[in-house]
Amino acid sequence: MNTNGKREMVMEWYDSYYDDIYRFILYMFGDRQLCEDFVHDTFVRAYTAMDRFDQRSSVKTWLFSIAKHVVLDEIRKRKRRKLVPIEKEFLSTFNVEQLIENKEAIQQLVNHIQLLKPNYRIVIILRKVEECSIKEIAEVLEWSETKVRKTLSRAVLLLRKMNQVDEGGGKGEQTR
Amino acid sequence: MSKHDDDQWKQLQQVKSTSQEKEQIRQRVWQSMQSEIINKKPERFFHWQGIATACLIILICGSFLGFIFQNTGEQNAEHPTIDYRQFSWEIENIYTEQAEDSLEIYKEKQDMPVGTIKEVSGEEMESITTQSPMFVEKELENFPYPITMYIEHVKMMDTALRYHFFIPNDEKWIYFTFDYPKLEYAEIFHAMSTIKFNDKKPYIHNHQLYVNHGYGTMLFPTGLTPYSITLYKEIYHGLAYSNKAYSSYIEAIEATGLWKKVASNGGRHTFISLDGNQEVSITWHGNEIIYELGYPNREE
Repeated sequence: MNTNGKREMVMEWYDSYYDDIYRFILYMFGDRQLCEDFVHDTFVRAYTAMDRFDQRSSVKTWLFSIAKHVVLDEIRKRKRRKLVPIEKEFLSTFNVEQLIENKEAIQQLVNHIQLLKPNYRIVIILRKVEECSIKEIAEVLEWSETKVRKTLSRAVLLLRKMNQVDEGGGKGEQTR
Repeated sequence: MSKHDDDQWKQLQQVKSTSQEKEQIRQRVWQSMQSEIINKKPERFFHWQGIATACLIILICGSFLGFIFQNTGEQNAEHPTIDYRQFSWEIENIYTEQAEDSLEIYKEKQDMPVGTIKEVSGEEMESITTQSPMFVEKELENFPYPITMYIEHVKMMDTALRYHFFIPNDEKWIYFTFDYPKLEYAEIFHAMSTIKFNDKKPYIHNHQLYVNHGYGTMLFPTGLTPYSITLYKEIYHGLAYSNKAYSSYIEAIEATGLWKKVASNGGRHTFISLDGNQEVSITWHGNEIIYELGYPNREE
């Protein structure tokens, strides 16, 4: 495929999967400004890596795996630089105004997702928000389906516990 | 999970960005792909089998090097180093002040600098361009001097984009930065398209130069002076077009292949972007050129 063809292909992917990638990155970080940059980086990386896309997985799954690398790279960078823990910094900037119903509970859920380990976050967002199948998540993470199921179950359990603690007025469990 | 929990996940599924955000990122992605500066990794140039060939070439060429060096002194005399502090440009209301190891660029009535000028080495240039989030890299053709432009995405209260311009100067680079929106795009390009160093005669191009503003794909002529800039309307002065020059401009926009002309009425031409998300009507009256901007698919 020539260069123009590749660019047009990426823009087609952009039109089809922008919302999915945007939401995935948004809930990984909880910050809209960063989200813009990482969505950009995801599609640009897709362009540079297109020749290596072997089409064994779907385009959507492949894009999620690129987005996963983009967000994990950023999390690692921040840890190395010993910056303010990523989740705490981003929580205050997340805006749930567009969610009409049950704002507080939704904000709490988003906050709780940010407290999970990065891999737990990836699994729960892909499953619960993006409604990916276990097989698709396994492809994104390059894990076995069994490992995905176990991680998902732990992540769900942790979110429930956090919810219970919050409802009881206690302090949320730190999982990082 | 309970039904209550499921409802919360459903609500998270409904979150979307605005179509304006989507379009902005789209343009950035497109621009980055065009400039192809994305995470370029140096290719492994020397393979083992290539090293022997390279050595042989060096040996053969070695005898010619002495001859070349003999003439270097004379050539340097013809191309003296430019003193970057000695220059002029045609833009009004922009002036420089000497700082410690650079010049700071100021706009009248603004307290903070809007840019800087200094000389940097090749290593410093490399460091600037690789360590900042640059989303556009472009060689500016037909400008007064060879110029490499980078656009950095900046997240500061008063700066959204930082333009970096590098002009080769012997073995170093004259390095300009300008902050948008402290200066409008048109002002930045007006400065760089009219710059003239005292030590080196500039190249004068006999045709109008066109540039993109920010990450956009619409062409704008250089030499514009912003008169009024709002979200939906931009008015510029300062470019006395002839009918022929204006027609050439309209043709140049069509020639990009990124905009389709959908209406023409006298001096007013309406273009729509290929993806249909942006509409621009351009009207020219003597010394004034007006851009009316519309976003047909944007949710208000």
